[in-house]
Amino acid sequence: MHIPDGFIAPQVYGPAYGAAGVLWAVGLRRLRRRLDPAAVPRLAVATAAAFALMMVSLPLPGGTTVHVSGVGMVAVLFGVWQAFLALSLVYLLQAFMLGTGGVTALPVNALAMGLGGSLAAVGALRLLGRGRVGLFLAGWFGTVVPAVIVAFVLGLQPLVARAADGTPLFFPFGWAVTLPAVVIPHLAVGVADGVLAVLAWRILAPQEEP
Amino acid sequence: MGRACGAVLLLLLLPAAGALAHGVGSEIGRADAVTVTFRHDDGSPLAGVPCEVLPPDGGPAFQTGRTDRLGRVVFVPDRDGRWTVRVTGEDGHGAVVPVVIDAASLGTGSLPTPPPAGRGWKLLTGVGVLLGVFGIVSLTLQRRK
Repeated sequence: MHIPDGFIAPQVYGPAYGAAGVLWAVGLRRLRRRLDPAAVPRLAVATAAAFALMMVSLPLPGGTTVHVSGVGMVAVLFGVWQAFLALSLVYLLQAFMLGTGGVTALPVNALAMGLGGSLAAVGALRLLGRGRVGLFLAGWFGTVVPAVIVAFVLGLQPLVARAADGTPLFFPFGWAVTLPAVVIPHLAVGVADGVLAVLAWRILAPQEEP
Repeated sequence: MGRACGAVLLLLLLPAAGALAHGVGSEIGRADAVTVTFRHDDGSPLAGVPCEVLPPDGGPAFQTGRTDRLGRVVFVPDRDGRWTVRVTGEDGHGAVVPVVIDAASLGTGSLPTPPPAGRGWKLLTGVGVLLGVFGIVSLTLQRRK
């Protein structure tokens, strides 16, 4: 689901960098005020686990591969802002050091997966509670909602950036192609992310004082 | 009479000339090509994915098609400059790879490219950097207390 360089038009990634920059600044200010030092090791472990799990590719029929996102897992444990910042750090690392996901696509990836996925996961959790079903669906929505956003952004590219002869300059496929191609595989991947959210809550959730 | 015969002969030859215009010639030869291979993170080939080769001058695509079964795009550049090979999967997977052809490499088909980093190295680096960043955050918070 990570969008590489060369697929997103400047008309899209420019404003996306602006929006993400503002949200990163707001998130960091909130984090400085509210981050519990005792939670940092758990946040580090969850973020590193999300990063590692993103590198495990699951082959799908047709030759493509998918991977779990870990978005729901981090979001149910730490909330929207901490998850957004922690996952943005992962995407930053992947884009600048490891060549997974593009530098120009970084804000789109961060907004779609880090923020959109975290909002969806926490929203599901608030609606359904922290039982198994709520946690599972939080993980599932944390993967499927970003897939819908990424498919929408990719399908937008042929409309916003074309050569004089009408040829798309960046990503060439419209929504009729991107929505099924991106979203349908992630309906299945969401199941793995749902199970992951349930397991992560059992292992990493803050323990109640006896 | 002679003129009439000539005119009829000309009319008969016209369709033949049209047929020649639709003819397709072919020439079999050997050329040194540039091969760009695309793989998924797990090493499996990015096969059958739409691709295009964009020329240095930024004009229309020099070549379009799909990657072959081994995930390759193969093309024979006809000039030097910075070419672009773009592979664009419908699901957003893909890559844009610049291929620099200069007078020395044009025609040789061999372009030095750095070997891709292994997944194990990437995993260790990433986890190490993340734990390091959070370690710094933790130390900063403790010092502030």
